[in-house]
Amino acid sequence: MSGLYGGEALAQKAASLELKGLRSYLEFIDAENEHRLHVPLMILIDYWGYRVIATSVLPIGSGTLCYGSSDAGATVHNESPELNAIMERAARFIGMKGHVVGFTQPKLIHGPCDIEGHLGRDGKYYVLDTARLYCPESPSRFFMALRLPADAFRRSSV
Amino acid sequence: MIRWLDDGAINLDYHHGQLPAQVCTRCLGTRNSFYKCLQCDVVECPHCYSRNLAPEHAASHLMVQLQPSKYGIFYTEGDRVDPDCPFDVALADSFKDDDQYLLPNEQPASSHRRCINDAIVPPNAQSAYASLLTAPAPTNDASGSAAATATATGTGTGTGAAAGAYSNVPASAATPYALLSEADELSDAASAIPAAAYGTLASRSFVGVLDSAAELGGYASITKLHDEPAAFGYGAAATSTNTTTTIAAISATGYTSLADSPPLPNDDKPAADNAYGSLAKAPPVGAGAYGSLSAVVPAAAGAYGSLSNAPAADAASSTPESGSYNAQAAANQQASSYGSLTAAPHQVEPSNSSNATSSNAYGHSLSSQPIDAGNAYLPTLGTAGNLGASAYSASLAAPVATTAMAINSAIAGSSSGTGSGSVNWNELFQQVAETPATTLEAKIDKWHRLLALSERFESVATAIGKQIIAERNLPLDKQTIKPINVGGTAGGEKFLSNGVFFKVRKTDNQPTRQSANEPMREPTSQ
Repeated sequence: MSGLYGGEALAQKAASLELKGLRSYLEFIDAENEHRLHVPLMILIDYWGYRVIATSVLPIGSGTLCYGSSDAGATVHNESPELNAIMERAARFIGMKGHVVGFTQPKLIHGPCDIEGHLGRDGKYYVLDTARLYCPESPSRFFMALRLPADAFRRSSV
Repeated sequence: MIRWLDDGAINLDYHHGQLPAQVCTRCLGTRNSFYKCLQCDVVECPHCYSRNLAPEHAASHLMVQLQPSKYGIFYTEGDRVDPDCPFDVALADSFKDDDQYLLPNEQPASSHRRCINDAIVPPNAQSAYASLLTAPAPTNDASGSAAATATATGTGTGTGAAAGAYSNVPASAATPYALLSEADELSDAASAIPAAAYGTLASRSFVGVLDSAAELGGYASITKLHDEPAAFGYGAAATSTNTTTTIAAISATGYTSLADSPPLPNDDKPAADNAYGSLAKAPPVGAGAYGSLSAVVPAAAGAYGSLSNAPAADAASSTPESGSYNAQAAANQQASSYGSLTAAPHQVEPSNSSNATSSNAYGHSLSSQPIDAGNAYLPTLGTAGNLGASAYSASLAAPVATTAMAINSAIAGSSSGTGSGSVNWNELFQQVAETPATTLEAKIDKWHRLLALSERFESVATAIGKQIIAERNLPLDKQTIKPINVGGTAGGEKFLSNGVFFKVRKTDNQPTRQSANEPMREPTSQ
């Protein structure tokens, strides 16, 4: 067993979770008609026992991050009030509360610590890195945990 | 042939994909699946029907098996199956239980009818005819030509010289087109339209995100009907001499074949009852919009691609004030196929493209960038940057039939026309996703576009992804697609190719040689 996820099987689960998380945001966008938020195209490619995530390249860069963290929680962003409100509504739609995350300057994030919300160069908000969107069950390591299924939140919130 | 049951006594519970329970006349059992006699009130459960308990009844009466669908109850007439119609009994049965296109959590609990619910659309709800039905009546002011009034109710053989595209459509546009769907001959043809229109939705490509997107629009479960290229091409059927087939093809090919189509059976009826007949007798080349249509070169790339190739000079001369097209298009905000038609002149006049942008029904620009005149729906090769985007933004104005081709062209053009070979998938996706779709035909158009885009994205990404996996244990210098460093840890190795961003789990037990000559090193541990 090796690698960040301790093997191919769990890594593939993480890839699958990323797509599920993205789907949740897409459902939110459509259900709440929140068209300021955007998601990339994404598919999973399973081949020869391996799984690859393929997404469309987004017009984002190092200076576009305005929500979440791209360095595993070392720095956390929530500078954009507009995106903060959108993400809060999205979390409410998904059925999750916000929580304070970050090592140096903890901030309130509605979603996983390492989610990324970008204000793209085209002026649109993009959300990505949604693999850890859903809440974990008693994690053994801080990035490895069983994640509660998406439907559990939906059922419990209605 | 699919027939729709007009029976108000049966309330369809389409949410569950089931017919309401009925009591079998023979065994008095309550069933959700049953056969109904079209002549009397006999209802038989499948069991009794198969046993043929009342042969005298079966010999003289017609029993049909009712099927639920999203749009109502339909049945198939086995003795009237149209060989060209994919919705024949056999095929309907074949995909009835075909749940491979549904995700596990999407499968209905009690039946597999959902695919049928979404796949079969009654003729009067289809894109082509629906758009005709909803096309607003033209206004003479908008067309800018008084001659439009004179030819509005004509049979189409009138001069119509200065008339714009809509001026040949009767002022009471809804009437003839509504009658169209009522005519027996045409209603048969109209039933065949889903074959073409929904055929393009055929292969499941709403993978992942798009699955959800499609679901939100209500078309998630449109099932695989056809793999034939004709689903995109539409072109082959247009040459058929069969009247029924041709009519179906006409709607698919954007009326390019109207001028060549054989006379319709009801050709001798009054013009108001024979809208298509009058279209078939459109004025000659150069005499107006339909004249231009008849001049379209059939071999050109696609129906609407051909439209963009319609002789610009003729169109311009017959409508000196090409603003009539502007106004007409503006008056036709909901138009789908007609919207494209009216937008066609702008294609050959790049200076007007900004006008077309605001008036186009699809809400997206014909192009914010100049489009190659006479080749509007094809990519403008050789332009730096956003090649795919520019080509596709042009194609957004194109109707369904050319969307896939335009996307293909955009991708092909971008890969061959530039060194980077980069397609801006995100821009293409966001443009389609942001397209407002409130009406049924607009939604159908939108999902057609999503499907075409997702199919292309899927094919491109899959091919590259497989290559990345196949080469992941090769030395770095042997890999054709090399990993890039864009930061991030949990995502694994990143690759970028053809505008697609790949993330693969980084395996530290794979060889880390930088070249084939370098000896293999032991994997490092995290």
